[in-house]
Amino acid sequence: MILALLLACAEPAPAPQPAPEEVEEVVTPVAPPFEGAPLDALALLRRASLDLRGVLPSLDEVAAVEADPAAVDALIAGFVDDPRYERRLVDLFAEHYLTRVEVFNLFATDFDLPPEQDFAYRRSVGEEPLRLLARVAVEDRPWTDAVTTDQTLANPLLLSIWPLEDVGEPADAEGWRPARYTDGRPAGGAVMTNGLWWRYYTTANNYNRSRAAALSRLFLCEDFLTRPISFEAVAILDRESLNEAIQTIPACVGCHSTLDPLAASLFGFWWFDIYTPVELNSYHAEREQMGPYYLETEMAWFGEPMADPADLGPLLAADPRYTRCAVEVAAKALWRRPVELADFATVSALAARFEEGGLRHKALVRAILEGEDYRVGGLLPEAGAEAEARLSTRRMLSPEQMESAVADLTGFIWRYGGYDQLTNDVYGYRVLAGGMDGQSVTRPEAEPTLTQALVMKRLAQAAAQHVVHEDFFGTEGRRLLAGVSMDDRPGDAGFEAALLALHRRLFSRSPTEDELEEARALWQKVHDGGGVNQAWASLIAVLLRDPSFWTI
Amino acid sequence: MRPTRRELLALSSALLWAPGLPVRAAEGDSSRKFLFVFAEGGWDQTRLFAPLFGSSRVDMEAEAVERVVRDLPFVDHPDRPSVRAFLDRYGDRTSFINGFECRSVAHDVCLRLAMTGTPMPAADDWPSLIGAATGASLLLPVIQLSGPSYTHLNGSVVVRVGEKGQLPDLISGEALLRSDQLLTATPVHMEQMEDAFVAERVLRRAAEAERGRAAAMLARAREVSERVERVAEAAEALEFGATESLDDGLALLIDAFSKGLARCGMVKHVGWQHLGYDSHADIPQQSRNFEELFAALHLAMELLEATPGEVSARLADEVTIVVMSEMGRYPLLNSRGGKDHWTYTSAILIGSGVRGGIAVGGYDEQCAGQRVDLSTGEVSDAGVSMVPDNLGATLLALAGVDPTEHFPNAAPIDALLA
Amino acid sequence: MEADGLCHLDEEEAAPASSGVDAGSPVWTGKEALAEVEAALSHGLPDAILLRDRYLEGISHIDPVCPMRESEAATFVNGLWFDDCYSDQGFHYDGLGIFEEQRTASTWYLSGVANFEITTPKGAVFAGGGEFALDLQATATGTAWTSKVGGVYHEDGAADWLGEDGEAGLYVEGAWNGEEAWVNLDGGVGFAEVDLAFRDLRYDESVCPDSAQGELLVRDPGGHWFSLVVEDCSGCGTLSWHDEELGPACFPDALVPEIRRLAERQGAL
Repeated sequence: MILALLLACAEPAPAPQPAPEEVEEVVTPVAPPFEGAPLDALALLRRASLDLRGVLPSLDEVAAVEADPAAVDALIAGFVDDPRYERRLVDLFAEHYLTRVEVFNLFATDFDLPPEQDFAYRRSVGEEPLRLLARVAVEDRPWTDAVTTDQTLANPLLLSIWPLEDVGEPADAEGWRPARYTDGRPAGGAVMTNGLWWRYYTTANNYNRSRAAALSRLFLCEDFLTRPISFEAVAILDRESLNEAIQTIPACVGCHSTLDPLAASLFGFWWFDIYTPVELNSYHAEREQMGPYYLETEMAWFGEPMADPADLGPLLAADPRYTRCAVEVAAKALWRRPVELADFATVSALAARFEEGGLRHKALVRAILEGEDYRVGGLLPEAGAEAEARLSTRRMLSPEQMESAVADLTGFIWRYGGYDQLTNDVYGYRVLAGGMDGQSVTRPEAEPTLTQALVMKRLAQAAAQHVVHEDFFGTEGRRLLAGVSMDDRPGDAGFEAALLALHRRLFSRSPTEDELEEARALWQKVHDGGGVNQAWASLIAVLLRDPSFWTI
Repeated sequence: MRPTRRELLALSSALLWAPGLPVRAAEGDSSRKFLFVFAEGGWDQTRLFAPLFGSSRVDMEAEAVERVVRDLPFVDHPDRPSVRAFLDRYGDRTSFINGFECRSVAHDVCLRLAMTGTPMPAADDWPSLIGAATGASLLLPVIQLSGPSYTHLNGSVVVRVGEKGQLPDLISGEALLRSDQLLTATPVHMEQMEDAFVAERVLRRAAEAERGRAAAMLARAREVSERVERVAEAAEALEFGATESLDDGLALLIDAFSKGLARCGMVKHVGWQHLGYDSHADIPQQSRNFEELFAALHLAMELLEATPGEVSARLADEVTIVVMSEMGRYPLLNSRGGKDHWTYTSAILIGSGVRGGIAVGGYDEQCAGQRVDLSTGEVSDAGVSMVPDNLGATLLALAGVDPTEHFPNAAPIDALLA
Repeated sequence: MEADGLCHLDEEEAAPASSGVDAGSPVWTGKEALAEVEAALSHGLPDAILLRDRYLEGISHIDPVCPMRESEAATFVNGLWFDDCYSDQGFHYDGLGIFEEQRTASTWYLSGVANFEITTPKGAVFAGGGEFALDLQATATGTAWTSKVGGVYHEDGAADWLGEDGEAGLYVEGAWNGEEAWVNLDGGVGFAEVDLAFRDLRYDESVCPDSAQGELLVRDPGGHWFSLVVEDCSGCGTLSWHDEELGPACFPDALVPEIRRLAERQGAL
């Protein structure tokens, strides 16, 4: 293998550069002045709790921070140790890796799974790589493990359909546990998972190029498709002619000189039929050497030769872009906005800390939580239009957050035929609620939409109905209406205490007098026409629809 | 018998007809509406667009002949009287874009390419670009009844009805019945009290919001709150739940246009007996599909002509119909009596702003797309190879949106612009 | 940058580079690896005709309705079936099969797509997922062909590759001129215990009657590959592992006979 080093160049010699020993200091990027104002402690508590745990802070936590606002820092730093954090990470990673889609080339019926497992099947497949990433993060392992470990995560459903063995460690509450593929695939963490390559499949004439592009975009944050290359579409060519064209036409070489060698390393996942379980389920080691045959180029990682696909994980992990990309992905997820050029210095600082800390994802997230971009809640008076547009001073809850927060508050999860209605699009409302399906909709909504408001309305009605019924007539203890009896009316101690607690629980702050008065008025009005149950249900429903609930 | 939507519209147009000279929506008009009809699966260009008789590299149908309406050549066949009738009547308002290259032959990649011009996940499709630019203030700027829809930045303008009709259920409250737990609908007058409370609360939050994202978000919430109030009425009028057939879907979207509710609509043609266009076997299915498709288009055009427009006398003068598929079909039959995928395909533009009666581009004797002079529409070796970006740029130009903002490297097909 | 202001490719620097990844050590020795190849080759390499014969035998137990054909005119020498049913002979057909074959005095074309399990009344399974094809033409002096076997195939009780949970992505090209044959192998074959690969492995009787040239690879259980490149008629060359040269080695004795067997089988009209 010859590594092309230099091109013949005939430009005039550049101006002389100082010798390395003459450079006195390394220039550190400096962030521009930050024009945002921070959230107050209670709002920060609320935001961090929903972002990292998917639930509202408890009344005790709210009280603690009210009493001592400085306590919020330690409190939220601890959220990454909460057992619910791992599930939130899966949700956040899904926004970047886009594997939580509705449709794969194989269906549950291809595995003789019953219809009621259809949703579980779709989610299990798409979440596999995300669960692995989340597990590496919560176990505080170096982030390089995410692409070099010889394990994955699997639940009983995946263990039953894929060539996996349980490695014997305990499962989490949802049944996910470490597993290992038994089909001889090399260690490579998430880049050696079925879930990733079922989502990013390739076709007979594409020869893994789209997968290589996906790998670069997802793990290096480098998107080949954004390169400003202009070229005429070539006429239909056979494979050899096409390979020659893309290896010689300058506009093609710009991407394909690195794309194709990367693609050549992915042929263990090459399928001769893309709809056959035996092909898609397993890794095909005998095909690892087919990349050079199809693509007429040797395997390489951006110019660095790859002896075989087992080198892929280590080369990816050693690439400095991998580390920086992990930082950008986490920042984007928590800042709830794209990472832009103006963030370069901030991201560089975070990346430096990430590396110094041994690439521990929890420490990275804590560092992001400490930062101004995460804590921003308003704008300084002198803030300009750029800051006004860019800084994420208020965010909407995602459908996943809505589901988990409402479930925690009320005990209600909107399920229908085995489908969680807020997190699917087949029967449910994921995209309508402002979420993304990973295929057609690739960014969560940043502002309310008509359909999101409608989903929120019906969710609020359903959850309110549920919690009122359970609290008054159930046997498992009260969630939202503690201490109030069905005979209590506005002005009664029980009623007022419940009203106050309801506001504090949903908004993580005490209500204003106006808010309380309006709530009493509504309750009374509804009660007069519909009775006690409906009155409480309507009140809880409207509070769930209040922007103070669904924005953070 | 209850009148159909078409009959009602025709009646109301007779009552509301405004006398005077018809005013057509001008080229590049932001009031222009777009009706997208998607033939999903990959239609066979030799059944309509590519009269390649005499080529040994192309399997044409028996009994098919070439006909020309105005300057629009097409493949005519005794089994497709609706196609012939449509072009006889509306050929002067119809144009074909022939031989553009999808750049893939995989369905999902082609769908995205056809609708956005790029395989990138971070892209918005033509309806959402148009809707965001010219229709964001409407109640339902882009209605997606069925068919492909890709959004990244412009998701807020697309109102998806849902695969299983989720939107009408949300509006009506029947969504609460779609639950494993027993839930009941909130009584109407209670719901009205709730809605009024929420509207007031949203107003207050918007007024209290600090500038920046918070203000933008809550201003939007306020707008949305008003739309929630209006959408129930609109949904009832539009009858979202009754769109089983392509005819019904088209009629609903036309109704939405006539009521000033939407700028774009998307509906999928699932094919004759829902068998689709992906005919790897049974190629005659393509013929049945085209027949059904054009029968529906004919009815749609009649409805548009009978319906008053927003700025013109007839809605037909304000609506551009875009009929497309994500790919074509291989020119030769396979061993299963069908045709496999092919990267070259065609699209149809009908109506407002379109220079009708012409075919832009063409196919060579191997059924590959030919280079085109975009200003004349003529095949020319000095021209460009058309790709979906050119279609997108053309649609944006028709919508009065500067295409270079989105497609700096792909020019609109000027030859199509009236 | 040279004094003339131009950049020049430094020939000494342009040496073959190897992966910088520390791959540890192989599980097998070189000798063990080549012994595995020898053992694998005893099962025989897969070919399109093998799959064709097994498939036609498998679908010879159908009845008029099971499995369902795509069109009434479809036979099984040109057609698609898709079903999950038992024929009146008790054979279970589950999945999809597409097969096409055209044979004349001077050509033989076959292609199949497999996504099925065919189970005998006694429970023996023939399963396949993938595709296979052969395109054989008569030439002025003999025949020339290309064939492909890709996918995962298995047959209970088979003594050949099919009994090995066989996997493959194998492309074979060859010609026979009545006296001598040449065959080119590219791709890989998976057996129960070992995976092999071929990179432009060529056997040309007119050049080297007793040896092949090119690259033979075998995958070590650790996930990296041994590679043996032979460039002359000796059948021997340098064995390396993960780009690290290990020393001289020779192709297994079974290789040339197996290639000849493939040539005879696939090159015969």
